[in-house]
Amino acid sequence: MAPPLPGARLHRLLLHWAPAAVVRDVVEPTIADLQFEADRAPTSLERKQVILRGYVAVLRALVFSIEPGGAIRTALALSALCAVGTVLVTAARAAHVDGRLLNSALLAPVMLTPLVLRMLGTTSSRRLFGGALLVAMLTPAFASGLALDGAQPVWMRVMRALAMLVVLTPMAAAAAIVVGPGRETFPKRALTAVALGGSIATAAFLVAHRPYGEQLSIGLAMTPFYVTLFAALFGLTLLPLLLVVRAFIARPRLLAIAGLICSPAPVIAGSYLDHGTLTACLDALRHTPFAFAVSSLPFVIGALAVGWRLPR
Amino acid sequence: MPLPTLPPTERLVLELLLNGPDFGLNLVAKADGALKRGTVYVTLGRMERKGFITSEQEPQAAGAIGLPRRIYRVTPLGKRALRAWATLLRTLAPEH
Repeated sequence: MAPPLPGARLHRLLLHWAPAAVVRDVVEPTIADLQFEADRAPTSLERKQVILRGYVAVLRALVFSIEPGGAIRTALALSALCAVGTVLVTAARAAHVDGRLLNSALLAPVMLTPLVLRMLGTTSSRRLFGGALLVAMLTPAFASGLALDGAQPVWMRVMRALAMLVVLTPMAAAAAIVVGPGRETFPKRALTAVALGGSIATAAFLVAHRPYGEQLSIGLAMTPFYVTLFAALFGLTLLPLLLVVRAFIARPRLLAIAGLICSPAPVIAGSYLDHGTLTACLDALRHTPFAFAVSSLPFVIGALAVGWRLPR
Repeated sequence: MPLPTLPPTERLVLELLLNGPDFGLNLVAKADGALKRGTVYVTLGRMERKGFITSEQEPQAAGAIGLPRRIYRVTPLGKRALRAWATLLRTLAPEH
């Protein structure tokens, strides 16, 4: 039996629901390309990749065809991100969940905003940053994180808002620079290296904690918090060391090894955050060396990735 | 009446189509990342409405299944718009 024609069902669906001009000018040529490429894919795996790429293209084409223009599309996307963030933060606060989950609910929309705006065609880094910061500040405001309900004196509310602004502005800027369309500048490459290291360390952390019975879904929900935490630790401790090393070494493999050698810096910083004092860190190392090694592993793997991706 | 504009992506599409009629997917491949497969048909549709290009469905072989692909070609108006744009850029270029 011949495999089903990819996109045929979607085409039939859109014939009923999308404007005729959009179907004729945008949807049909995109699906025709999808079917053309899928038909010529040499392997089953490549066929699946082609089909996935084709469906993403149809989705993007549909989003870009929405009338009216770009400003309203961007406003709608920002509103939707704020709404999703507000629901997540409010639900997390109401359920009195772990602080890591609450922070993840706050951080996820900030991380997603530049990505969504890029998909919608925004090419200005300033707009990406502005959008991310807007979502970052409005989400806690809507979720009563800034106590706009009047439960606290005005000066406390202002101080709280300023504190959030100070914390969230660098994050929004980092997300906008990493996702932004700018040239491969030094800050972009450095931030991308740190973000990649943070993501890989988070994945290693989740895998390392599986045997301890932590649910995968809970771990995945905490991903934004851990990516930010690891990236911040790498950015503050490992990156300055590697930048010094980079003045003498240019090869990615050697820089990765340098990252490995410098990995105790983020390990100590992370351990200090966990235990509170350096003496407690050393006690943990002495009494539970295996557990200490397991908890250090994500830092080591992440540090390798940061060194490997560092700008040359 | 507003003056017609020629954004960079439309200019690129016209330049690519000057070499002959082509499919959207080929334009994406030739544009070296400047055109995306998810947005190229939105651009092509807009250019068709402006009258810069025309399109027709590819004739399908007997027994072929699937939707026919669309082939695009530049119109005389598109060629004139590209020439006019190049002249405008030359005129506005700073003199040394």
